[in-house]
Amino acid sequence: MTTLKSSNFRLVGERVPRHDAWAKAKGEQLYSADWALPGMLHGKVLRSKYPAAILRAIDTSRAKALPGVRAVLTAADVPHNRDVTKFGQMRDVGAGFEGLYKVLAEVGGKIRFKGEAIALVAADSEELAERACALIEVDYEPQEGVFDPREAILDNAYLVSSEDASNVIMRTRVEQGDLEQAWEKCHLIVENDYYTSPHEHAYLETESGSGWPDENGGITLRVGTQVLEHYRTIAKVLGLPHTKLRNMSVPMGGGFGGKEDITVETYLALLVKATGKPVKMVWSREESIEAHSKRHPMYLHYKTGVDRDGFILAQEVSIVMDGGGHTYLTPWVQMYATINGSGCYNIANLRCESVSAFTNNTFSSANRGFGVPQVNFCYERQMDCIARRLGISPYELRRKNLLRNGDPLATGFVPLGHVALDQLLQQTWDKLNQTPKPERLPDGRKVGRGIACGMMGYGRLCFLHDISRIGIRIELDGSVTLRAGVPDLGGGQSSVLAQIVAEELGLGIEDVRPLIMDTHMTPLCGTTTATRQLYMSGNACLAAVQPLKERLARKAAAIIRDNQWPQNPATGYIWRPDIEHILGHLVFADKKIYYGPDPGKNVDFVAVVAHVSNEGGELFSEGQFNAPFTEVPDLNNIKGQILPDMTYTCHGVEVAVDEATGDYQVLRIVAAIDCGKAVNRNSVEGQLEGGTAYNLGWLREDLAWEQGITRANSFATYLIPTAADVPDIETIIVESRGGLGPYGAKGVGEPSDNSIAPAIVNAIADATGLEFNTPLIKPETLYLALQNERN
Amino acid sequence: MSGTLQISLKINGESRVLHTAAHSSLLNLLRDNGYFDVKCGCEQGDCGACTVLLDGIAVKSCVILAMNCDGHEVRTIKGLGGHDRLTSRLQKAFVEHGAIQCGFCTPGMIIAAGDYLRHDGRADREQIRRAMSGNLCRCTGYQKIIDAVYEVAAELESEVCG
Amino acid sequence: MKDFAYHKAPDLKSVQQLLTEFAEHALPVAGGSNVMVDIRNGRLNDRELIGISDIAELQGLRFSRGKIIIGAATKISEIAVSQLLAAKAPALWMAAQVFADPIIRNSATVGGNLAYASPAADLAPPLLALNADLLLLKKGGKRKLPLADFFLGVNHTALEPGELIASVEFAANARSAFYKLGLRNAMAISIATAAAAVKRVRDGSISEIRLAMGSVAPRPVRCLHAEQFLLGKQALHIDPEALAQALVWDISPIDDIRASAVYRRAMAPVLMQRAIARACGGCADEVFAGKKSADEGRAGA
Repeated sequence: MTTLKSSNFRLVGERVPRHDAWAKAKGEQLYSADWALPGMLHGKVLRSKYPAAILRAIDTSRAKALPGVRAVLTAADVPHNRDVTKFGQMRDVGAGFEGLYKVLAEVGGKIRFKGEAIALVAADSEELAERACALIEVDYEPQEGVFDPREAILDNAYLVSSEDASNVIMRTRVEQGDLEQAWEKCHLIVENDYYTSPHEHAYLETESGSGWPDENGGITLRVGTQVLEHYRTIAKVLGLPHTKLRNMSVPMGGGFGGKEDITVETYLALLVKATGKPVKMVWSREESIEAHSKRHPMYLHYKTGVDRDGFILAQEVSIVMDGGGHTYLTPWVQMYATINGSGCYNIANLRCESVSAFTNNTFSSANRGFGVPQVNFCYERQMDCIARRLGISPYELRRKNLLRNGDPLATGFVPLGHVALDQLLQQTWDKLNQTPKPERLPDGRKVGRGIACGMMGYGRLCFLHDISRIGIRIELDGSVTLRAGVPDLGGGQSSVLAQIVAEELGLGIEDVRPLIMDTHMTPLCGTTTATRQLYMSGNACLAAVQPLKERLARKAAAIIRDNQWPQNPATGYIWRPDIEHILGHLVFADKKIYYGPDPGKNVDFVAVVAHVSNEGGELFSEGQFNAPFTEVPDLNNIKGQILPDMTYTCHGVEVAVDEATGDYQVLRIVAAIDCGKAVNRNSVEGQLEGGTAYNLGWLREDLAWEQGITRANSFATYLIPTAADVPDIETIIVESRGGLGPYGAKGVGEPSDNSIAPAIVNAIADATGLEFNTPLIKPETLYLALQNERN
Repeated sequence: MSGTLQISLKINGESRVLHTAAHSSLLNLLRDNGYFDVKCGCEQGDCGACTVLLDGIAVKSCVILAMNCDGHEVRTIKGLGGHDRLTSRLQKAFVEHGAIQCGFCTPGMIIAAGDYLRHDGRADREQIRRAMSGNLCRCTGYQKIIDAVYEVAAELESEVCG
Repeated sequence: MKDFAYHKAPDLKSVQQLLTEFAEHALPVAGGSNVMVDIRNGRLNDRELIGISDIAELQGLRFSRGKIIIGAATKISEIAVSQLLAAKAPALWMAAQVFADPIIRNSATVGGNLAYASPAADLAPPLLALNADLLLLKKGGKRKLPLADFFLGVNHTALEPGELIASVEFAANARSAFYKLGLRNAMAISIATAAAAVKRVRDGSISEIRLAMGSVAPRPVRCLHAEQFLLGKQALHIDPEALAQALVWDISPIDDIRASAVYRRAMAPVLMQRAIARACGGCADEVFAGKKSADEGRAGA
């Protein structure tokens, strides 16, 4: 691909208002719950009240007898209640592990977590559906359960599932060099145990949607999801061909990985099929918190050895992951955690081993960062502990060890894209320390500063054989319809595609209308997960637009050549450059196609479209982008290219600690990222700021799990940051042009949130000397630790 | 769900006679009648997505008893944009600053910001943060929301002074 | 099944009528921020909801002959913007600044906050410290009840069937202050709160003091032992250990989702000392000037 100078861009790199911003500002955007059809029923899920139990019997007769109740379904009513997934491109092709999924809990089997679905109800009103749920009699035999994955992996542990002989979900490992030899050369070895707490996505929109029966036995859903491709699984559950289960999906009110697994879709489809009527389902906030996935809690052990100068010689990591009650995405998350365990440093000798296990906690799955925030927290805490022990600055220690261009990752693979870590570290450190750090604030609070780096992939695991397809149709008035099965969860996933098409065709973003998220009417773009949409679908956009652009350019060149070179009135002689020369100098801008050397020679975009149309030329194009494909790696020693490329970040933080109460406030945040190329500057900053606040919240958000019960199951108790809790965020956007996405862009969505949490805890350590081994630090935690220190 | 009680109120300038249950919230009354621009995020006053104007004052409609609004006037974001100059300016600022990501909190945010500015809110980032602290946003980190409100506040101040 | 009826009370006379008629089944609703949550969560059912938000006599605040009288249906936001209260009852004003969030403050009312009788009611400690009285109305009568006698337990008050809080009144005290410790800077139910109202003699020693706390007992509490201990002490030089010893007799905190009893017990003297320091000047003076909101001087003292 040719490298363009940024001055060549008209839209790319600008703060372009998103195509859907006005609709959202005006309240016109309709989300999953904002829909009603005549005669629509209301669906409810009956959920387990125990985290661990044997489901002895279900009696639905009283619920069914209630007037106005149209369907009561249990596992026995589900055509294919079980599904198995494996690593690999398709759910049915692959290796490495097998994960069993059940739509509804089965009689005779075990309930695996509180909130597991047992029965479905559809009724004339929401209140009736709730009453019917209350009338379903469930015979539970409560079990002791197991709630700590370290106990769950022991031989005699309580078995969470009735189908498996062990609670272990998967074991995997990555290894380089010779650890044993390396330890002997170390000047200092720092060893710590860490625990990272579960984290709730807390999108403002709870899981919801509607569905209705269509002609010929088809079912149509209207449900926002991060993964349109789930329609295949939903069809399979119902015993329908893939063609008959359609989701005309809608933008989400936030996702962050929590809408990556199936939420309401299967339940709706089953109820629609059972009743033959439209059904709507909206989860309450409490239901949402109790029934959808969480960020994996992890128990980690880190052992890091350095030489006298602070160069890391060896690092050994072991991880025990809490998968909760069901497999879901645990093995994939585990891969991310394992290959990123040793961090964004050049370490010759390393080992990272991990095991994931079932417990009777809420199941764990994708949550912004996908296993990386946990290890990022630990390796960046390790760095500060080492720096303090060696008496060198945390900046200096990092600078010495950071990955640079040409350095291999833990799997031995050298990243394809640019590695900007030292630049990010330098700029963040300088900005954070522009002014000298005060010892205390005038009100007496102690001040601390901390810094942390981070690294995370964009694009899915290469062995998943990821693709994205985009469709573009140029309308006869010169506007463009962009068809993309791109789930938009709020990150601007679809708007950036419109921007790319507009850039390429010389149009305004308002000239491009994205029609998105339909399983069968838009080309599938793949999942909005893994920070992949700009990379994958952005490249697919370029692939789709290029043939159209070329066709239009050729026509424009002909028109310009034929009509716009002056004729000598005396001789009638016309000198004209040849078509290829003109083609090489055409510029698409301002809804025109210009001959670059003489912009007076140009033709309206719409006129060219008319000509092409008139001649029967195609004004339609689909393009596909394929990510690098690899095979499923050996789980005993993961090697090679696991992800397409990495994005790098750095966070700097200043905190103030009130030592008398343990309360602390983040006063300043510097956040830096190499986004490769900022396609939409507002969106890049928005992701960085949003990601920063998201994991700033991780420090205080406490689900208060107690033996499988989520005590903080509402927004009154699960406290995410308000505007008054987040300071101004000073962003540093580096544009190395060294990414694999369009124009050299990298993905930023998930990487944005990784390094903030350790930076804050490092700052608290700087202020107080307390070395916390968990991100969850409430004022009480800090106060008690200070008391301990004093005694 | 429609109830048995009749309620008369003005919604977005239009007189409506609707039916509701005695215990219904204003939020449910509005959404049951198709005012989907009022979002529901928690149903207990903790997120602010359902913020509307009741007699010109911003309230969280999920914790307002619908029947208490009998004879009163409600405005949702759709009844403000294009009609109310301040709201239109805020909408423009939100759009241009990139203050909107998923957009689920946006109607409530804009109404809360309008409430602050209508009550002599200053162009002061700390005060704006406090004024917006009843409306949760999980996407933006609030930065660009504060930027947008600050810009309108500063413009208003300079208009008053100039 | 949720089973409610609704009656709108346009004036005081009708509300007294309705309250008498439905007695313990009656539930007055003004702002609704507590009631609506309880109805939704099923903690309340089978009640006659009495709409009192339109009753003009229950609204507004007045200052007359050294007394401040606040109508029960007055919104918290009206307190938060009142320069009069900022100057004459800063404890209450500060509490209003950090009460829930700005939007809830637009609908939540003073009477509602007290009548719900949460141990964490933000307005209770300042009003207890200001020695407030409640004016209670009933068909054919009214009575004055010291706020200190009003709270009986969690969601339990001395309000009799048929009775309504009409207003709360108290004497102005410019040397009063409030301090809240919560898990975040807005929309946070308190871990603990402290309020103090002080009178000092010329040498700086305390001649009269009233203290109260929230979220440290089943109900908002006056801290009589601490008050006794502080009499005659220098306001700005209080021995924290001794204050803690005295407070132990006033509070009985529990573990809950926000904090442990141990932490609350440890915080009680810290918060109280800060409230007293604010009340006596210190960082409170700038707060009184109305320039800063109450929690900006959070780590003061």
